[in-house]
Amino acid sequence: MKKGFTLLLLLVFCTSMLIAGGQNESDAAASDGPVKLTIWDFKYSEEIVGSALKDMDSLYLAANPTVELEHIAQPHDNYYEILAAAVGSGRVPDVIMAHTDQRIWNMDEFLLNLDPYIADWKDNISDSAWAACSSTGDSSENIKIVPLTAQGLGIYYNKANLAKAGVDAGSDLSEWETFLEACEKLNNAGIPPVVMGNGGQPFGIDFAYRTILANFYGPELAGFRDGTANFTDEAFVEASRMMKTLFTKGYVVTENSTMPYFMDAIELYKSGEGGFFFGLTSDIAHWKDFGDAFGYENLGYMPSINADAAPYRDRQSSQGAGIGFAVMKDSKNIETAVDFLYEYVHGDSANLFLNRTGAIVPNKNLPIDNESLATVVNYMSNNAVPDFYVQLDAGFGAEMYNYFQLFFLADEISLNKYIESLQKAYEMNL
Amino acid sequence: MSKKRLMKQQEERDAFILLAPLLLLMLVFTVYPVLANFFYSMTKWKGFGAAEWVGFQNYARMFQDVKFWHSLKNLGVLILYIPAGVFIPLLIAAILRDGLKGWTFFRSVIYLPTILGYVILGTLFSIILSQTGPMVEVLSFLGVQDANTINLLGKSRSAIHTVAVIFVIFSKMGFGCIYFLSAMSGIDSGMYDAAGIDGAGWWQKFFHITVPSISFSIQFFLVLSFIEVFARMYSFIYTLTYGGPGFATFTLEFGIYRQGFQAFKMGYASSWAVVLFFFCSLIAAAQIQVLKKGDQLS
Repeated sequence: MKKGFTLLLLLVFCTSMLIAGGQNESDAAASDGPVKLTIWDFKYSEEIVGSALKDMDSLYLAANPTVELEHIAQPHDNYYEILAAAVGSGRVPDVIMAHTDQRIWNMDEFLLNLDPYIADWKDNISDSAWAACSSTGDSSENIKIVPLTAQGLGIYYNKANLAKAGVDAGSDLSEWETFLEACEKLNNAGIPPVVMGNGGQPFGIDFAYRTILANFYGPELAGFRDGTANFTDEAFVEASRMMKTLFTKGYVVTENSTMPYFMDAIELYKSGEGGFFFGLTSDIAHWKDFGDAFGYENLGYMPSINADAAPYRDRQSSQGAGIGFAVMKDSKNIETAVDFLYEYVHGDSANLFLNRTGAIVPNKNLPIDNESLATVVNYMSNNAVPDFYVQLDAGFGAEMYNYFQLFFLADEISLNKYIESLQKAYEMNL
Repeated sequence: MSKKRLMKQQEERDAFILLAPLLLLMLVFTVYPVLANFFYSMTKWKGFGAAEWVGFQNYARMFQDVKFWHSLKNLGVLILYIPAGVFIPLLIAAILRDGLKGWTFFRSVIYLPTILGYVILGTLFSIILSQTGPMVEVLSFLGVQDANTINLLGKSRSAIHTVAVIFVIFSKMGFGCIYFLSAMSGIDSGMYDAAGIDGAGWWQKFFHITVPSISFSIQFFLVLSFIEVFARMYSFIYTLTYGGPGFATFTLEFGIYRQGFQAFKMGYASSWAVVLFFFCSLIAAAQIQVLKKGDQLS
């Protein structure tokens, strides 16, 4: 009997240990002390952006001594998986960094609707950024994210290398024929015409498509969200032909198929190699990255390539917002969290972020004193069209990359088969 | 009731109480997830939030999905490499057992891939085999023209075979050798001496003494290899090829990750997991048979 009782005690102990392991930390513990804000971030460990964010935190803490920040750097590659696990378990941080695309809209119901909290300062941020931060794509309502950057895709060129190859950098390089002629001259001069990283995941091809498609579809790019635009459209087929030409003519160097875009291809272009680069307008691979590397006087920018078959010209692929911060609905510190985000995108913090990282900040009141930045911002403000990729289902986006590999890199399927396969996969994911 | 019977009942009760924590853990972490997976495979579910019942829709979709069929085909190719993945370490172990000069050094070298782990191994080979990697440098140095166009991982036809050679054969070689060497240490050396006196050559001794003597170990290693191919390749594929080019190295396991954790289609991923569960069940059944046979032999 005594032995049985001991065993029973052991069982109760084990069970209680199991249950205790799954208990949430009590919120009451923090109620008497300062407000503690937990922030998850996939850029916090990055050298440039991370250090800027740390300094922005310091600015906020200096102005708000009653707040404690627990800013946690999460891994970029599986950030949304970690976030999904947290959401599933009900243990979420107060604030999360997010891309303004399908990855976060999958978790829409767990994000706080910021409409009543941002009304007083909403006008400071551009409408296109708010639209990207709305779960319904409408800048007037359902805002779930405060935008930190305005993201877009464009084409950078190295004027010094173009000059070496005998290309007049003052000519309109955005014309398809002129662009091809420039590539040919660069090739003949032994300069890789297009530096494009496609190792692992073919981001180089992805980014090139997004710039070229901007002129083919213009505002109708939004149709890839609901199936009104299709991969079988002549516009997409023609854009694919143009892209393929870059490969068949050898303007995209062979080695690029195994070179990762982040960071290898970017570093290669920064080192002064190559003529053209399909890059971003914020984060990295942008005007500041390249301007700092090989001189702003040598840096050119154009938003897209103008082709006869494309109905639009000089359209700028724009996500409205690239990354931003959302407040979780279950946060116990909503007021503090919103205040924290206000500080992040205004005044000294926003200025610091812009100047340190080169990311375009969608705050309309920030001064712009760099010519290259002014060029990009001008296109972003006046010629913006929806970005192709963010319209797509997250699963299909990954699948599309597999077909990019087959058609462009491995060269194993025909254009017809490529288009047919993409359309079929697209329809399955609509 | 006799005292003996009372004691027996007491012992049975104690046994259940002692087993209870383990059974509880198994229920929570094994049985429940398996049953839940079957349920979620019939739902539209993102992995969080509410699940919507859709019946067999996910299965219907799976059978129309080219990724699924590519995954099965790729698993078929990988399985074809398993016999080589078992035979080569067996052969090396037999050679090492005979006392190769400097064999402790070779043993260490061969075991290295096992120590590295799949993530490091995948990353290393993605660098080694890249178009700007050391393999191309070496081939170019040896005079191979356009070595960078070989691109073993960049072509569908060669990618899955390259993955198979690295994962099924190379990465298992070290563990296999040590495992078989240990099994061979139990063979009576007198059998080899007797066979030698009878005029048996090295291969005859290998096939008629070594292999039959450790047949249980070989079968066990075979089953382990199947498990590795079906259920432990994810991290290797992720770091080496990401399932590409196209779907040339896509596997069921990798597909579950992509559908469930990247696309947030956890319901659909669960239907893939049911298929994987089916294959793993077959392997488990084979494993049980092997273990039973081992018990009988011992």
